Amino acid sequence: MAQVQVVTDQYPIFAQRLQTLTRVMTTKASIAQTSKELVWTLNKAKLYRYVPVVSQQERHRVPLLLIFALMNRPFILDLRPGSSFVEFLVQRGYDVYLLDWGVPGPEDKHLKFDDYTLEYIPRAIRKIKALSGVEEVSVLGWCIGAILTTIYAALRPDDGLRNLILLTAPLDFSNKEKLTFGRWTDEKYFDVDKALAAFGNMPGEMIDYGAKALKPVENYISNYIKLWDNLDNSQIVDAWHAMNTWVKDTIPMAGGAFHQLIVDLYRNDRLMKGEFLIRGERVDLSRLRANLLTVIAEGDHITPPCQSESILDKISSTDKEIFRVKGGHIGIMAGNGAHKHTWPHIESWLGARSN
Amino acid sequence: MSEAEAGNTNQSDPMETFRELRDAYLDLWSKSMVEAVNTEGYAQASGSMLDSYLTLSAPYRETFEKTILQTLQQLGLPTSLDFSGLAGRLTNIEMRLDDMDAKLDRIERLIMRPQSVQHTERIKTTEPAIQSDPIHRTVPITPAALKQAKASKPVLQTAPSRQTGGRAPNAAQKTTAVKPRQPNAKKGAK
Repeated sequence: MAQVQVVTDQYPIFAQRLQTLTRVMTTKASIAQTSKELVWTLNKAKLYRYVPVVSQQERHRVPLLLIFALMNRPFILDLRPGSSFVEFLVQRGYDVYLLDWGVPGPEDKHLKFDDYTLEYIPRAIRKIKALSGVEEVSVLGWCIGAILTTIYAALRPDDGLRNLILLTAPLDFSNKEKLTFGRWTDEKYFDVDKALAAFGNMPGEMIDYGAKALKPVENYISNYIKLWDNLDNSQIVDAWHAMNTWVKDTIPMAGGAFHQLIVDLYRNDRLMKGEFLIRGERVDLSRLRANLLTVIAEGDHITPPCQSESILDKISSTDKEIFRVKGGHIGIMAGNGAHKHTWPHIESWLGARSN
Repeated sequence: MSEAEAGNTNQSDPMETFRELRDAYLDLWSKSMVEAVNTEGYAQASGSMLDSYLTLSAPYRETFEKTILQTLQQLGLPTSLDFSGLAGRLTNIEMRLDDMDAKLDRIERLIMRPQSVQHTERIKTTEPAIQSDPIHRTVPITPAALKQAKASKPVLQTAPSRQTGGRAPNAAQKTTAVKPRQPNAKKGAK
């Protein structure tokens, strides 16, 4: 009889947990809620300006442009209220812009780093200058976005780029032992031309699989067990839901850019060797003079720290700093400790150089 | 056994022990899997799988694409290649419009600068706050202003140099006939 009582007591709790699980697994959370305005477009790319919440007098003079990777949506930077890097910066008086690359279609399969760094980024920066009335700009690039911003900074050092922040920047591909992606995409095992001939653009699902397969147990099992264990904790459930919404929103990577990533960077490390050509122009990292902060995630399995460290020896910037954070590729900016460690450090570094 | 110890035993969650064991096992499994995927064997196996899929699906894909292409051509309908070409042309037009827009902005600044010097009491420095139409603030362009704009050097040239298609040398004058372009989501999602 007592056992029946236990079962009837537990049933509503179990039903509630199941309902929560179904909701977070089958619906999308509201992400990217910070107020913003579309100020510029080119092809699929969109430039957003976040609505300032502090007065002009209290704002930092130099605007900040955020550039995320090509294969995921950039809204990880503005995940949800209270856990949004964008919101954090806007509240501290930054004039924040976000470049969303959009979703490349079959017609964009020829887009290369050349187009992103010499057509899209310079135009977006030109628009920011026109809107803000300031001839200087700070740029934050994350992951592939950091590659693009580094190339741009080296190719156009006189464009008014004052501060450059690189987050988990995969720039140095020389240490083949530590690069699992490099091993998988070695020419012995992976025919990039054959794949792109079939798909045009590299499908987002395949890139997502590659990223998850680096830590298969965490991504395919532990992640869901953690959710199950915390289904009664609405805070954890909401955070998980928002992150899962972002993770599942994968986008393809333009074929031309993917080809360069694999052949020129992963296989031949041309950027660090000074052999990387963008429209025939050699990317000379020694021309990069902007103030530089590079943020390294010590537990990053996608971009191991060795990929982001050596840039400091190559550039001409006199003001340069490495900031190491415990955490993973995404966790350093969107994890529990991001607002205590990573964001304040970036903000204080940038604040000292934005007036 | 003391009362306190007895109390602890009674309150302990049997599931907690299970969770600890489970997590310890998952940690071990995770470490071994991370090592496993970082081997030449895994790289070779995953590469072979992808290669087999691409090889096996290639004839079907090619046949399908050829059939679709022939059907569309016979029906006189545009193919995906036509759409790709059109999209490329539209992007080029967008870039030209963007360049014109930037030139107009520069001309506007050059025109406004002398005016602001003469009428400092009337015209305040514009605050770069969000406006209803932040990109296009059209002003009448007088021939004298255009002459002045041509004579002046740009403050800082950030416009990327276009590789394909030369722009008309007197593009600034032509832009006066172009209606202001509204940024909208549809344009970006073509």
